[in-house]
Amino acid sequence: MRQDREAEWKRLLLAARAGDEGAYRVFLSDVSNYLRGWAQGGLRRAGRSTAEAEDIVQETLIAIHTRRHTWDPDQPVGPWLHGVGRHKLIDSLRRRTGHDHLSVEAFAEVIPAPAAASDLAEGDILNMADSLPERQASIVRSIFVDGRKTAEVAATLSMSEGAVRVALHRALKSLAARFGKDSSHAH
Amino acid sequence: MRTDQLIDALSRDPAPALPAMNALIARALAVGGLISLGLMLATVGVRREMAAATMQGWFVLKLALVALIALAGWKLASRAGKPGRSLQFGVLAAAVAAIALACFTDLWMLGTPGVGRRIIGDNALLCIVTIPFLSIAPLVAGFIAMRDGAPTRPTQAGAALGLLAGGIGGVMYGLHCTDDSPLFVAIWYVAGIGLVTLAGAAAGRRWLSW
Repeated sequence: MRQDREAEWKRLLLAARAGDEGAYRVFLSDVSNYLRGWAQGGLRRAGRSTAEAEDIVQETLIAIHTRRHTWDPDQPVGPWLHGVGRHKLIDSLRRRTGHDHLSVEAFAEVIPAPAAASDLAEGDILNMADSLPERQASIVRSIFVDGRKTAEVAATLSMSEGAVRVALHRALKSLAARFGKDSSHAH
Repeated sequence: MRTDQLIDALSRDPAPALPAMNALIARALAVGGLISLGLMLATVGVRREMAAATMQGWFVLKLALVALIALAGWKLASRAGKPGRSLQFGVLAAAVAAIALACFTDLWMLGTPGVGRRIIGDNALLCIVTIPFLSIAPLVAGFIAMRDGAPTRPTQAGAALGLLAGGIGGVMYGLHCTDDSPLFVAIWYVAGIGLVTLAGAAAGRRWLSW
């Protein structure tokens, strides 16, 4: 991991913690390019088509998102990201390829791969929200699809803002569990 | 779905909704520890001559040794939930060394007469049964917190939580138990805590993977 990338990721994640949506978007896009390069490499080495890479990228992004509180600001971002990413990549490659011992190259050696227009995941986690309990589904749709503010959604549902954010977190975690299964069965 | 759509959605929720891992585990332990304390008071209870016991070095040493095991569990568990962090075995090594040192001190100060009595104690069976019983609440609470973490090695994370919960159960039982010799701690407390650690490892494998 290059030093300047580490410093940049740390700056973006700290800004995201303070509520900066733009910084978080830049962080996730940058990370997704690394994950794509990583997933494509892993699939290629397992003798698989790289068409499934995008599902793995998205699954891992959701894992990073739902576990972002496990990063301590006094800890470097690179090793944390590598830990979550490696765990998720190996898990989803194993589910898709049936191989038990997959080599995943070091994060530092990954060549970032920007998304191509054709890169589409089979799964659609936002559409899956319909299967959630009513209140959770409406929170997921309001914030993720309609782009409404947490405070606004909280007022509509007469919940506290904190409760809305925790409900969103729980909803996303249960969707993520299903997303992994559905997209690996689709192939 | 395109990945940039997903990124757009996720970026609308930038700050973490949950507190940091250490706070999550600490909160769970406070609840689990209180339940364990309540169960200890309701079942075996505090030893009768408690006030006199606190004046005795061996009693205080026993509690300190068991608390050190709990601290070792805390150090391991708090790291196990955070990816990219190596586990800290320093406190565990210190706990093992302290127990060994305390055993030598016991043998040196009190000698071999009565050593069998100090090892077997008054109630070894109650010790290895009650410590796991008093560890259940902190173990369950710790697991609930750890499921919100990201343990990349679920078995190790479960074992660390078992060590921590076993240490807490051990301290609670220590308030009841009248066997204060380090020799007793080294065998029976360690056995009870070891059982909880093994149970934690098995449960971690099953319930902490993500």
